[in-house]
Amino acid sequence: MQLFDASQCIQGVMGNTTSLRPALTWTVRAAHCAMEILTKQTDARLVTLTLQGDRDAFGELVRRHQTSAYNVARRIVGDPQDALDVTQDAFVRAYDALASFDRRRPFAPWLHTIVANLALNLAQRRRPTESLEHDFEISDMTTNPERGILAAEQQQRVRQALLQLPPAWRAVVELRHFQDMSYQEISDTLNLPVSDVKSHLFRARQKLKHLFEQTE
Amino acid sequence: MNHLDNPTINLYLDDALDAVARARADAHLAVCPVCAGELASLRALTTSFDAWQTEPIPHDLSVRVMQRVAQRPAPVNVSRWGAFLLAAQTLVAVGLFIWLLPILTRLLAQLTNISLPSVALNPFPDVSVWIGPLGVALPSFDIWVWGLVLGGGAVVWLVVNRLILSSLNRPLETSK
Ligand SMILES: [Zn+2]
Repeated sequence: MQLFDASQCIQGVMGNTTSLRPALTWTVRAAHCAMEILTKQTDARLVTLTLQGDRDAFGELVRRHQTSAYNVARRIVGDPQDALDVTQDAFVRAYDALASFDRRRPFAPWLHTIVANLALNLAQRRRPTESLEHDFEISDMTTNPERGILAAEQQQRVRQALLQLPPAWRAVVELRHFQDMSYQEISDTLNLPVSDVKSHLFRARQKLKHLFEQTE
Repeated sequence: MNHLDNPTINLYLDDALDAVARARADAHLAVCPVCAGELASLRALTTSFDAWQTEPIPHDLSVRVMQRVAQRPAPVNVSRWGAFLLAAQTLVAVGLFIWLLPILTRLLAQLTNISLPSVALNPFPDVSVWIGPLGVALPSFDIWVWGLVLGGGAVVWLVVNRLILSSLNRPLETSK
């Protein structure tokens, strides 16, 4: 996570060099970035601090991971408000279960398993058509309208297709393709037999292929 | 020529075939455009997921989460050492209970003025016999002295336990 943040930070600096800002500005920014990276606490440290009674440390964990957690929820439940609720609940669950978290492992995948489970529970309670009624906002349109529209169309197609899958299939696709988990890890996360994980995944792919062929 | 079945192609895509099966699949894919095409289309499908970009969270959740978390008990951090301590204490407590039961029942009988049958006064004669030769015989205090010793011991035990557990949980209660 820290590496990821660092690369983003450095990318920001490099972006400035191409737009030919004064050299001084980006030197200062680079120094600022370096300072930020050095002073930044690792996730494991923040977990330790939380367990020692420092609740603010948990607030920092929330700010750090809420976007990725929200996106996991969003891909499984579809509706943005539901995704926000799920994300919030997941952080509270994570807080309660924090002592069981193995600090030698990265925090984000552990959090995402909690999010995925809660999201799946919610999605299974909802009627299947409900999540399809939402219009998705198209973000990067202003920067490059043509490419933006194409990308947005493609994104819309993927979303529509994924949201037509049964929630359990969608959750398996999320964990396999977006979280890069193995069959066994997915089985442990969703409490499903490995055979079910495989059949959900393979059938989901088959159905998605059909859906994509239809919209092409 | 038998084509690769759908599960095999999927397992191949996920790199989940064993070495032998994978070699067999590789050999088939090299000569069969149908299966190679099927695999390619599955690959294309999985890369198409990248189109679903990460979107920004509509609003910051940290304030709301912190409000909810503030109402909850702090997460209990039972370390391996803590778990061992708990198990050891449970064993000791059960052992002590069995050993001291005759005294406890006698104490209870005196306090409540109920005459108990002899089996209740010494329900584990075998244990007493077993402990006796080890030289761990109970001193013949007055029953009230025993009451004080046991009660006091229990209080000290609980207090020490609380201190040990809290030091295990949060060695440096710094902020707030
Ligand atoms: Zn073939």
